[in-house]
Amino acid sequence: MHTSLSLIACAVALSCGTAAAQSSVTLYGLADVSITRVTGYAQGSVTSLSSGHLEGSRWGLKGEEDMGGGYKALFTVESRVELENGGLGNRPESGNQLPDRLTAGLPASLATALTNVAIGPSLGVNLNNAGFDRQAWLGLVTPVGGFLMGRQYTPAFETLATFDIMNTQSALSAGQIVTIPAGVDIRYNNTLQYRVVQGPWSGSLMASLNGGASSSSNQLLGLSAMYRGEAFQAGFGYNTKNDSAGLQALRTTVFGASTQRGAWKLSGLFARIEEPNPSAGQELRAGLTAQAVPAPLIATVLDRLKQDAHLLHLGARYDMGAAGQLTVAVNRLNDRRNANADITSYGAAYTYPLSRRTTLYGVLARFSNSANAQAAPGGNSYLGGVTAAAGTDSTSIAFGMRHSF
Amino acid sequence: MRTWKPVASALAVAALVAACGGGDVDEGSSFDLTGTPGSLLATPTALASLTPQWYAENARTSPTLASLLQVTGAPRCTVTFNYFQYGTVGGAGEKTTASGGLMVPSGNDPACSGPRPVLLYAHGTATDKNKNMAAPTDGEAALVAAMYAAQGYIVVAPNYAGYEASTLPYHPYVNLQQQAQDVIDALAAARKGFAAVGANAGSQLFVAGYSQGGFVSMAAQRALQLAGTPVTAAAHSSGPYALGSYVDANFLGRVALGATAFAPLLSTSFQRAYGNIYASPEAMYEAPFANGIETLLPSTTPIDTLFATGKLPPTFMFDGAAPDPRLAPFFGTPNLIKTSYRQAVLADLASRPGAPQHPLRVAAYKNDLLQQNWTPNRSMLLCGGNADPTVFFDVNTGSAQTYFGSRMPAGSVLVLDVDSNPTGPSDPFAVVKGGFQLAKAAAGDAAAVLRAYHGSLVPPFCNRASREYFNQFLALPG
Repeated sequence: MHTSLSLIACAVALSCGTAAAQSSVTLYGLADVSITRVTGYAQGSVTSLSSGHLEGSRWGLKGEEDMGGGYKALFTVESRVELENGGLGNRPESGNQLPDRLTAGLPASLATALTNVAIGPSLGVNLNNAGFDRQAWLGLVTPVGGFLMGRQYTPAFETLATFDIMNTQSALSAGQIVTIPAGVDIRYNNTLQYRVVQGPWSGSLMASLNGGASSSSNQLLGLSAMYRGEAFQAGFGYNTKNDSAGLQALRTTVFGASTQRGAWKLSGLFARIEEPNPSAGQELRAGLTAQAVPAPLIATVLDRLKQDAHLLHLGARYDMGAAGQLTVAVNRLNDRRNANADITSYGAAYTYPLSRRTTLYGVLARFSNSANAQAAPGGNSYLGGVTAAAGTDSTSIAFGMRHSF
Repeated sequence: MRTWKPVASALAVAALVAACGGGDVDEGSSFDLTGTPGSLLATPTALASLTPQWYAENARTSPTLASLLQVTGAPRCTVTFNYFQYGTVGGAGEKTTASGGLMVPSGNDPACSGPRPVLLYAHGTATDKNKNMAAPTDGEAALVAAMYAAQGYIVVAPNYAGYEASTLPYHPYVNLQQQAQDVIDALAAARKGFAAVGANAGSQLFVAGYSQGGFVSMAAQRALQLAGTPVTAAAHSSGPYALGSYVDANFLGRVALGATAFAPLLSTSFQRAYGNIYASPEAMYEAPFANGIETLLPSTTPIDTLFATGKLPPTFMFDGAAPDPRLAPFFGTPNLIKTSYRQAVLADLASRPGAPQHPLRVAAYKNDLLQQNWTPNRSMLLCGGNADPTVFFDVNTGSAQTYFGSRMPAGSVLVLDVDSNPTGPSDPFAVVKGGFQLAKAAAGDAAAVLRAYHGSLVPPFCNRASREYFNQFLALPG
C-alpha cells in the first residue's frame, strides 16, 4: 500500500511546541497578561488584570521517544497558571450570578438556592484546582495512527478552534458566546483517542471510559474529519454524550472552512448545539430533591438548562508581516428555544510581534444581547459570566502581552 | 472565486444536517424579562397537583383539613398550584416584579372542564415576607384552593409587590392605587400563561379578598370598572375599606388586635409613596423600635420572634390610659407609637375630622375606599363578623353598607354578618351562619374566640358565602 499514515502529535493550533528530537522532554509555556475593561456587569464596568485573555497562561512538559519503524511514544502534561494571583483556576467577574432566564419566574428560595448553592458556585474554570487541567495524556504513535489516553481536547472543540479565525483567542472568539450553559465540551477526562493523518486529510475518534471511581463525567463519543489544503481547509467535528442516567445530553456538531489568499485569511464555522437533557441534570435533580424542591419545579429547572442553538462565525485576518495581524470577526448564537436568548458578538483584534516569542495585543469585542440573553465577554482561559440583567450588552477592551517559551 | 465553491458546499451540508436533526429538544419556557407592568416573566411552573382523592385521603388523618372540607364541601376538581411572576409597580410608581399563585382546576367532573370562571383573590395581611399563594402549604392558599379551585374556579392569587421573589424592598400596604394595579397586573400576566398551564378561562371574572385583601379586591373592582372592564361580581370580606376612620379609631384608643404589626407596614407604605409621614422614624416610633422599623416588615423572621426579641411590642401600641378596660392590653410601655405623634394625629382629628391636614390622616383618607366618590356598577357582597377585634365591622363594613347602599341600586350591595342569627328559613346564608356558630363554640372561651376571630374563624365562612354568591352569576352570560 502506498499510504503513509502519521500522527498529528497535538491538536492543531492548540499549543504545539516544536519538540522534534529523537528522544526528548521539553519544558514549554506561555504567559499572557492584559489590562482588561468589561462593561455591563451588575457592579458596573470592571477593570482588571487578566491572565490568559489572548491565550491561557500555562506551562507544561512534553516528551517524545522515537522508537523507529514508525513507532513513537508521546506524552504531555500541561498546567494552568493564573498570572494575576498564581492560582490554578478562575471564576467569572459576575461570581455566582446566573442568567435571569434560568431563575426568573422561580420561587425566590429556589432561585437563591440555584444561584448560591446548586449551580452558581460551579461557574468557573478548573474549580477543583487540578494540577494539569489543560492536558494530561500519554500516547503511542504507530504506522496506522496514534492512540492517546488521558485528559484531552475533544474533536468538536478542535474543529471549532480550527475554524474560529481567532483560534479561541480573546473575547472575540466564537466560543465566548456559548459558555453558560456550555455549548461544547472543551476537554474530557478518561478519554481514548485515535488520530490519523493522510496527506491533507486527517481524522480522529474519541471515546471516554467512565467506569472507574475517578470518573466524574459521563460517556462522551466524538469524531472529526479535516481537509487541509494549501489554500483551502474544511472540517467537521462531532461530540455527543449522555447524562449519568444514559439520556442524550450535550451534542455539538461543527462544520468549518477557511481559505487563504495572499495576506488574507477568511474563516467561517457553523455549529449546532443540542442538549435535550442537561448534562448534569441527574445530579442536579438529586440535589434539589434532597432539598425538598417539588418534582414539577425541578422539571422546570432542568428544562431551562436544555439547549437547542445554532452558532455561526465569520472572520477575516490580514497579515502585515512584521507590522502584525489585524483580525475582525462576528459571531451569532441563534437560540432556537422559546427563551430566544440570541447573542451577537463582533470586534477586532490586533497583534504586534515584538519578537518570535513576544507579542503585544489589543482586542475590542462588543457583545450584543437580545432581550433574554446576558452573556459577558471573557477571555481564552476564563469565563466572562453574565451581564447585569437580561438584554444588557457589554464591551470588552483588552491590552496585553503574550510571551511563549 | 473558485476557492469559494467548497466553502459554499460545506455550509450547505451543514445547513442540511442541521435541518434534518431537529425535534428532540422541546421549546421550553417563554420569557419576558422586561418587567413591564402586566408582563408574565416566565411560563408559570407547577408546584403541586392535589386530586379529589388526595383531599379525601388526607382529610382522614388531618383534622385541620377535615374541618376545612366541612366548610368548602368535597373537592370536585384536581387543583394544580402554579407559580408565576409578573411585572408591576411599587408605591411610588417604580417598576418592580412580584409573584403569585395560579390555581387551575381539572378533571372529568362537569364543574372542572370546559371554560371556567376566573377569580382574582387578594390575600390578607402577611408579616411573612415569603408569603406564597402558590404554595399548598400556605394556610390561606389551601383554603382558597379547596374553596374555589377545587370547585371549578381558576384562581389568580398574587403575593403582592414586596413579598417573596418581588424585587421591591417594602410592601405598598393598603396603597389604593398601587394595590389595585398590582393585582390587575397579576391577572393580566396570569392570563398570558393560561394556555401554557391548561387553564380554559370563561368570560366571567370575579374578585374576592379577605382583610387587607378585602380592601385590595374592592380597590381592584373600582380600578377595573374605571378601566372599562368591570367584573362579573365581587365579594369583599373583613376589609379596612374606611381606612381614614379606621386609622382615626385606632389613634383614639380603639386599637386593633395586631395593630403593632399593621402600623409599620402602613407607615412605611405611605412614607414611600408620599415621603411626609415623618421626618425620620424616630418622630413616630419610640426609641427601642424606631431603628430599622422601615425594613422590619414583611420579614423572613417569624413575627413572634420579632416580638420576643424586642423588635416590636406584641400589643402595646400607645402609652397612657386605655379608654376602656377591654382595651388595656394595648396600652403600656415600652409602647410602639410616640405619644407626641399620637397627640398630633388626635389634635388634627379633633379640629378637622373630615378635612385632615396631618400627613398620616391625609394619607389614610386619600386611600379610603369610601372617599373616592365611586359608585360600583356591579353587584358586591360585603362579608364579615360583627365582633371582629382586628378590622372593626361597624367602622368598615357598616360604613361601606351605608355608603354604597345610598349609591347603588337596591339589592346590588349585600352585607353578610356571619356572626348573626339566620333571618329565617329563607336566609340563603343560614348554613354559613350556623357553621360559624359551631366553629366559634369549638374555638374555646371568649378570649380564644377573640384571638381566632379575624384570622381563622371568619375566613372560611366568608369565603364559602362569597362562593355561593358568585355561583348565582355563573348561569348568567358573562
